[in-house]
Amino acid sequence: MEKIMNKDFFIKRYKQLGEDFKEIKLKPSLRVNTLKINHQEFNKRLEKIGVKLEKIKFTKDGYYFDSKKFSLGAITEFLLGYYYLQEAAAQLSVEVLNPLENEIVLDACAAPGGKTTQISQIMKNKGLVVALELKKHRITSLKSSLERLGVNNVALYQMDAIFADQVGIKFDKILLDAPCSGNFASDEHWFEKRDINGVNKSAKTQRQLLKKMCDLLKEKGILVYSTCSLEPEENELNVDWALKNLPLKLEQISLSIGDKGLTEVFGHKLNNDVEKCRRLWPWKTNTQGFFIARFVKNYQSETSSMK
Amino acid sequence: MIQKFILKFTKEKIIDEKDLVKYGNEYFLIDKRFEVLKQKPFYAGIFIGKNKGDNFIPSLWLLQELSNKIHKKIFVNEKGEWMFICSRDILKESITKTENVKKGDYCLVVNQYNECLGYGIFEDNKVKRIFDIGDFLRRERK
Repeated sequence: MEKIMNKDFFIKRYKQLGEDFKEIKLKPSLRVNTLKINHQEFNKRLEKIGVKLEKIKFTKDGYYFDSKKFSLGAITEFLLGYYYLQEAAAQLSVEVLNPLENEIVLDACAAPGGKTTQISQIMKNKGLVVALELKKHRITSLKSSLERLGVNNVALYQMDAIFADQVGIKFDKILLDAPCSGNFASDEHWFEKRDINGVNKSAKTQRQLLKKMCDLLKEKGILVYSTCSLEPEENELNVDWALKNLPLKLEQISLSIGDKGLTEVFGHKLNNDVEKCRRLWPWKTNTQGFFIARFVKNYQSETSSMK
Repeated sequence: MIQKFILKFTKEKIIDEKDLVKYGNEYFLIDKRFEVLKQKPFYAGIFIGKNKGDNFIPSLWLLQELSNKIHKKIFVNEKGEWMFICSRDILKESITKTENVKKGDYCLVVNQYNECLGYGIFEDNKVKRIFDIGDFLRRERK
């Protein structure tokens, strides 16, 4: 009985936010690794072994795939690092971050390495990426990903992002793909596992991380905050909190998919700028739930507070 | 241990050991950009390989680097490729071409695209597997 109540509880919340819940089935997807192979060669290789690829229109390097004969997580092309199995929405936060070749970038919560390797790919292995991961058992996957995909511009630390100042440098760009409560599209048992207390606890940790990341940004540095949660406490409410309490302002995200961030949440009116964020509802986008915000560190606010 | 490993295939200098750093039992090639870091990382730059007991386990980068520079290879067909990355030895019927190998030699195993899948020892028209890239999957299961 409790399980149904949980699902009903969350579905009612989505209704209050203007959405009618629908179950969806995610299409398997990957990201081609342009450090090792170009799109044309990659398409040829996989076509030859009978794998159908469909370009994901709203990503730069993503493909949906259809493979009936074998698992795409066990073939030579995978082992040689020609692609990374990555959900479609998950590819967006690094595209929004848009790391440049000469920059110093932080990936604050890196494992298992999908976004870290994507950052290196876009930077063409130039510049420097610092990747942090707290949990030792997730480090193996992360190291394997870096090796397999031919990434050589990353320094990896086993570290809680809250202590990232120990690395001793400031960053041009930071990706905070924060630990969150997840969503029903990527976890079929999500409704059984989650409750609002867990969501609120997660939101509190995310605010601590947002503050720390802001401290580590250079002036006019960029922070992309993303979660795979649908819950406003972890998304728009945290962004609104950041705008009130940190020297950050939001930049417009131009994506061809998703809705604007919500500026009214359960009767609370938020800063209008929150609509510059992007929210992906699974039943609209056929992806997992996702949320992205792009902040710039407000130099003027910082100098004002120093007077 | 790295030079000892490389000497199994070639006397040519592939890596200058003075450019290597060691974190734990793992070796990396790093350059000047990492000098800004105040704290020593766990993993950085190009992963070269690691010591495991008395053996050296090469990285994918080192295997590909060797494959680009040396001509001591066994080419295998698709069946042999699949069997090898599932950690099996390569049988005679899967070998499509040999390049400068004789019995007892260490050799790289490459597929039809000249992509290195690992290495082994050439023995009487078969290759005894020592290391293959399927290791990426097996290490995750541990």
